[in-house]
Amino acid sequence: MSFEENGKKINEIIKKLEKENLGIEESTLLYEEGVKLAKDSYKILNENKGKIIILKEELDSLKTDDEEE
Amino acid sequence: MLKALSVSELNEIIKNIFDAEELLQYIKVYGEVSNFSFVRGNLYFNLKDENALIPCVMFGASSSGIKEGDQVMITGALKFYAKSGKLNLYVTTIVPYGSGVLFKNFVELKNKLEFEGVFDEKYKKPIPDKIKTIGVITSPTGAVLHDIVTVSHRRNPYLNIIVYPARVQGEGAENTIIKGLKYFDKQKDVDVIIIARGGGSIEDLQPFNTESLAREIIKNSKPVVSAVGHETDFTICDFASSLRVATPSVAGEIVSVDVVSHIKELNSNIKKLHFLIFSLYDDYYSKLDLLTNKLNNLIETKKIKYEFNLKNQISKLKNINFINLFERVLEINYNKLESLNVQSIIDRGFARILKDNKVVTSIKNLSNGDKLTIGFRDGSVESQVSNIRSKKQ
Repeated sequence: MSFEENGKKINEIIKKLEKENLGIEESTLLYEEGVKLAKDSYKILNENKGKIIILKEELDSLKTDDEEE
Repeated sequence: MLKALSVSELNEIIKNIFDAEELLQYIKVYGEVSNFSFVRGNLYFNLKDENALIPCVMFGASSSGIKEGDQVMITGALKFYAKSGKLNLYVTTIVPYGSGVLFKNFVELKNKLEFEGVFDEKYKKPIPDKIKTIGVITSPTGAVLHDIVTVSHRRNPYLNIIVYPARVQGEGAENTIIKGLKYFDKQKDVDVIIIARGGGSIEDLQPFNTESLAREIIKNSKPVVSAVGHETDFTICDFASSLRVATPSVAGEIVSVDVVSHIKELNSNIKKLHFLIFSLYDDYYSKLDLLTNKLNNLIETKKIKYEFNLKNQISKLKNINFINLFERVLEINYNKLESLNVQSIIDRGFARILKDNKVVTSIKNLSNGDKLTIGFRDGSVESQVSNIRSKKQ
């Protein structure tokens, strides 16, 4: 599941939970699904950010030493 | 049958052969004086080089400052003296030859051209900073060209180098250099011309000490860089050129500067790239945080509601005092509810935000500067609200 799809799903869960008529089991299940999706999203974000950082380090090592930052 | 000759007849024949040979009646020879003696107004010495020698005699010569080991240029005639059976070079003029003379000529020419204004600033052309194409006049083989090419391309691989092969030593070499200058003068895209030659003796550098070369340099429309001889050697070519550099490698450096700007541009683009990608990630993280906070707050309010209803039911049931089973069923539900307990959620790594001890569920009742407590599983953080961004629906 992609990051964007997770975001949409979590939004849907929130809308459902906002309606009053849900029983406790159903609310709990919805909540659990929401938490799972959120965790997946954080995982996706962290992994990609890790890749970005590695790429940046590789690029920085290649940069010639013209460092007048 | 072979007729026998007397010695004088033989010598007479040899003498006639020499006298008949036009070429030998007036010759010009250079070499080193050795075995030198000055007797009763006559000069006796051998003229030699590494692998040959000829005896010389000069009648009625003043000593004229000639001494052992001098390099000299003599004019004279070759004579065979029948009486002694000896071959001699009868010398008419003798002048010093070699570096001494050449240096004297160099200074004289330099002063003359200097006086005439050939070396004036008005003939010097500035070296452009954006150089795309250079013309190099040098010998096609040898280290000089190699140095210029490797140094310049290491710094600026985009530089175009056109080589005009010329002779850099010996009689008339300057004419090949002049042809090179004329050739590059007409090349529209050539930005700078380099005249280059490795180290050498003053004799070797003679082509670069000629008036014709100096005049061609100042006439040229392009700036000329002179990289001739050792760092310590100075030639007329250096004085006439727009720039004199010590070695061919330095020439390579001077004409290859613009690559630095490419690197600077590349580095600033890299920085922009990084800024963009990382701020993108910040956005993603904050959006996701928003969603999870919303989720937590919602479930929190629901829990409180259920808990309240449940407690009512339990108290009622207790009053009615039904059988325990029913109580256990309620208890199970209660335990399930426990799992919703905020604390367990926080233990899984989420945070709860309070303002004046009430859970904050939206940015509506928040304003800049409000004090917030953020509860984590292992402690809490006091923080202050700034930069409130509402979520676009």
